[in-house]
Amino acid sequence: MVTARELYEERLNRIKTAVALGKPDRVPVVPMGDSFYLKYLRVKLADSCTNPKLFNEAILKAVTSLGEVDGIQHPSFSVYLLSVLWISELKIPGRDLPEDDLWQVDEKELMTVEDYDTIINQGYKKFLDDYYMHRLDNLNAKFQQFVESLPDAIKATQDMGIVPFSPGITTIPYEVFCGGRSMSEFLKDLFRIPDKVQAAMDVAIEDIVESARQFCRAIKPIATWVGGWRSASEFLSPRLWQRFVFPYYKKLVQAVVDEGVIAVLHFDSNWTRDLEYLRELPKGKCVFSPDGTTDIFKAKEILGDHLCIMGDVPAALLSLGTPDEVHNYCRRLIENIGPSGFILAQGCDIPPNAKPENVKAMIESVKG
Amino acid sequence: MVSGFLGSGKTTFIRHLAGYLVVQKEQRVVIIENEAGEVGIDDRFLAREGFQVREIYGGCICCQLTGELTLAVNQIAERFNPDWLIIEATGIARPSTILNTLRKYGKGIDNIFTLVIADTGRWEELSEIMPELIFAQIAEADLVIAGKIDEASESALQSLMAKAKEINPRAEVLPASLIKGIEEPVLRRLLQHAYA
Repeated sequence: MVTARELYEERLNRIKTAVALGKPDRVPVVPMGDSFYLKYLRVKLADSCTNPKLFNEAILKAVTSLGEVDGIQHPSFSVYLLSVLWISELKIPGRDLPEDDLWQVDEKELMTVEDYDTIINQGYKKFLDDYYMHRLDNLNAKFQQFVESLPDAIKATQDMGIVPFSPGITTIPYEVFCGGRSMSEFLKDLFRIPDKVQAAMDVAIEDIVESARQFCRAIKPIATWVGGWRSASEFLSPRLWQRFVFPYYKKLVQAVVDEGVIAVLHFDSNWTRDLEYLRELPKGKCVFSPDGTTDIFKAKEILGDHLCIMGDVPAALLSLGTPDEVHNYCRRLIENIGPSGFILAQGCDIPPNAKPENVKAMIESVKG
Repeated sequence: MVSGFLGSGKTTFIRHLAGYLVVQKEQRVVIIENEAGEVGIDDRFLAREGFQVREIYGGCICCQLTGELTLAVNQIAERFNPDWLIIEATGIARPSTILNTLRKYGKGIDNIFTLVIADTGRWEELSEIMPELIFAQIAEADLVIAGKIDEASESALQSLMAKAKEINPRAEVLPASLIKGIEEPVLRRLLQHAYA
């Protein structure tokens, strides 16, 4: 009889071998499906999305009934995490939306052009503390509940023999400012006041790096997300991407890796154009995790000997396809992107309307 | 399917088009709002005017939208069987991302016609900042509307029209103000394209 501890070590070793670009005994599978798990269990989104303890219980109950996973990306979740990432208001089920509707980032111009000056002159932390308190209804207090719940969520996951792979999320100033200003206004800023935006970014990244270090030291995660959404290559010219995006990822990823933590580049939308740049990130210490939009086969070609690749079963395939289609897609990934340096997962997040039989087919596919 | 970057005037355009189809052509019309990254007020605006509107949202970005959108299309085909289904595509997606899924899994679709609203007022800025997305939206469209010409210089309009012709020679480019309404000849021309 294998104990949960032994199972955990076996699965962790499988994942770590893949990250280090080695060939594990089989390709590991590490899914994430925050809203899907709740829908699957028929738990109302309103009941769990602001309660990380309930969320952790639901995730563990759902994944263990869907198959044998090696790890999960998030052992817990709170919608306030999204508010922190994009300094935006939220529409929350049960409060602003029907009880079972998916939460939404309510993107609008909450951060002003003057805030760049505040960041430059008074510091990012002071700006953020004030912003959380007065523009996001004391977000710090709400988010603290999630942070405090993480150690228990991580332990509960480990106790079941499952690896709580990447419990934290951090991102670069571009994403934060883009969310706070709204994408449309932020792009105007890049065009009209680029030097000021860059000066504010240069101040903000120092505090973001320090927060990421503190998180890694306090929680000691195996990995953490370094996320990218609106900073994808397809949304920005090469010149601007090289100025406002990549240098900040490079700095943040290095800080995470220096703490002995794997950096998971959770990169949504299309990054194909700039894959070559990712070779500048530490070899064998990061995971490139595209969402089904970036050409994952091109990524293998360019990054295969440098970064582990995780993904990328598309959300639409999980919602609309058949188990056979999902199985065939997964096997294609396992055989062509793997078997070395590859972790099987959904692209981005398993969508709430995914068919459970498709998710089961994805998890099962690593066995052959 | 109506695409175009955030704030280009898609909802205003859809309001005029849907009104024309319902009132002048006595067609049954359903609208899907499929947005990420804009204040969610536009759909309420359309619904208040009496249009049948279905909203589709993704959690944070487009990756989850296409599956939800296709399921909505299939439900609408089954329940309402409309003559026209107008989809307002999210401003930060390439039309092909949505079209590929719709063509593979969509039901009850006779024909898909794609038009893009290019923001003439912000043409210079957007083509400098995000050329790939803006040009892809034009390249993948059957018809290009050069919108907001009242907010743009003549040179911006000429630049847009020249670039549109260069990257998508098969698509006609129709200038329009949108905010002042759309003249009936333009709407008729649009329908000719859609039925072609």
